[in-house]
Amino acid sequence: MPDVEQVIAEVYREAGSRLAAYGYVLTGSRHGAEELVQAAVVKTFVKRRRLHDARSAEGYIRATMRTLHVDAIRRDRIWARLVPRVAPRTHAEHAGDVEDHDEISRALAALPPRVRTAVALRFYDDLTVADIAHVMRLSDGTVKKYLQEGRERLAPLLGVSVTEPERLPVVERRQR
Amino acid sequence: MSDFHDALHRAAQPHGEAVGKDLTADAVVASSVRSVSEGRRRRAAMQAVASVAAVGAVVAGAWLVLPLGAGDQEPAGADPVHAGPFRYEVGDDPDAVPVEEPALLLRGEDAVMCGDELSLEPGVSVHSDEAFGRGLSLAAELKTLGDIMEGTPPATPQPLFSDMPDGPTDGWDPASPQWEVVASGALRTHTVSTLLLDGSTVVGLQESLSGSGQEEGIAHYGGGSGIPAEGQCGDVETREDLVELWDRGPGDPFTSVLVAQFWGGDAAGSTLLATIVIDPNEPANTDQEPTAVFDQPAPAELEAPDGAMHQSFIVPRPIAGCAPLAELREGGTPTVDMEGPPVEVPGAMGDLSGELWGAEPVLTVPAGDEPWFVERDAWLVADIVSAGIEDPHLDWTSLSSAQAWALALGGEDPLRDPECVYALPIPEVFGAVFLVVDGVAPEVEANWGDATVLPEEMQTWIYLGQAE
Repeated sequence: MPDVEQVIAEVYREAGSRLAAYGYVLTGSRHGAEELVQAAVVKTFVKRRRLHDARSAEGYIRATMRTLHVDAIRRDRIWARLVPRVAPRTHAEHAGDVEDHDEISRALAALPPRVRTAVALRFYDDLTVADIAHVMRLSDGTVKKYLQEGRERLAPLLGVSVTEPERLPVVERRQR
Repeated sequence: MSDFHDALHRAAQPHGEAVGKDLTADAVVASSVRSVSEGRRRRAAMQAVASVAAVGAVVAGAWLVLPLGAGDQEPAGADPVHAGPFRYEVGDDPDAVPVEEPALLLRGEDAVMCGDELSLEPGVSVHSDEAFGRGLSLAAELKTLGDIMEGTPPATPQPLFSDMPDGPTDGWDPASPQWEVVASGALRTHTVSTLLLDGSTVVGLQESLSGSGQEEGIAHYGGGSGIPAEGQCGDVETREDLVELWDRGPGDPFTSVLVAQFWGGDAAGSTLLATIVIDPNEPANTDQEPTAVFDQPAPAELEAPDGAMHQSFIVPRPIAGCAPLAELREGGTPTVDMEGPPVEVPGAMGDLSGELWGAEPVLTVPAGDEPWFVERDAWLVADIVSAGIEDPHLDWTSLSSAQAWALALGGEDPLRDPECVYALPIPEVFGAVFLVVDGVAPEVEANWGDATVLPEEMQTWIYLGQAE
């Protein structure tokens, strides 16, 4: 049976850049991505010590990253509301210390955290709008709005059309 | 998948590779997990906590969902403990507190060590003029961990060593004493540690919470801080050391102190701003739990209109959706911190009843007596809407013949997502009813003291009363 440290080394070797890229899109910064991946790896392996290979671990780590990050946003919004007179207006948890790498980095960092997260969940996790709404505890309509805003702000920098049809699954509006 | 999907992946890839390279070289996480799994390096387990605490600092309290912490090594069965809550803060007045040298350092080459002799007074000591006006504070309460985590699914600590089922575990122990801690402020970095003392001598120490902040705005950093065992002074390299600490159990929390230090400055050089010391033997100096800053404020207590004067609330305008205002109300808006000055609603208001208005005007305002919100976007929000759009938009109509303005259902709703299913607004409403108007009153805007949120981004919720 492989050693935990060996499995983690394998995770970093085989999936580290993918996890970091996912963390980068979630947080809008390399620093945030690194912290998020590390925290998720610790939490995942402390909780599930029977993960024997990088392939099986990667999914758990991604799910943990998602949970940690969405929880971060929720708590951050709470405190921002509590101290609106002192909180920085564009406070954006991990993105606050974004490195000035390129135009896309700046655009990602400048996205509101919930918009950036919705984009990451849609285009990195391939979640449906309904699933994103469930994870982020938002309405489907709000998620769609966030995705549209994310596309409008990122598409020109990514060299793709804003109006390119997005092949979203048809989702019925949930009854309140 | 789409071009956008592919382009985003391509854009993120180099960043992922750059970070991934660092991850490969980073031994902290791997050794941290290994220590928890195999119990060979207790110190690395602390680093695991610190690693998560670094994100915890950013997420302001993620520890509440993580079964982490210094309680790992404590055996169950300790008596419940409690002290506090305490809250100390560095104020704004430079003349109120003298600037003095620190009695200890929690970091660096001269950081405090076991065997050091210290004389620590509870409260605030300031080490730089830059400390004032940053909202630096430390709030803490000593509890049994099981009480702190009350309501969360209980973790089941697993033995670290299969041959020692009653030995050290990989999870927190609900019976262990813990400081529940929230450090706040506009700061660059901070560290919180628990020091176990024998008289004035440090006999155990444990760094529990550290992280980076943002100097441009106050943030709150939550976490837990366990009580070190006597002799727990740094690295624990061997299984034997770990087992010995476990057998010894945590130190007496009432011979410990909680210490926080705050640094400002930039990467080129940091400045130690202030130290806050909390002694559990002192009487509580606040009745507010440390984590109260993370709680959502309570829903506002609604007051019935007094003639034309109505209670009002200043609420951030939501992003468009299918029922964004109704969702806000369902989530507890307005809250106590949102109350604004009373708003006068002149003219004839329709009666509040279960069958609300329909095509009839909500409000008719005589010309010459127009309130500030005439012609602004307006909505109706009620606790319960039986059918149709849950937060219908209202439209202003100039009644030239009667020299009046009428506000009735209709108009184009800028907060309604065009993709939402359209339903005719024929609601029956019950409970609290609000007239929501875009913007704020001129007197509110004139006295707007908040540089971080603009009045143009706000709406005014006017409480109309209860519909039955």
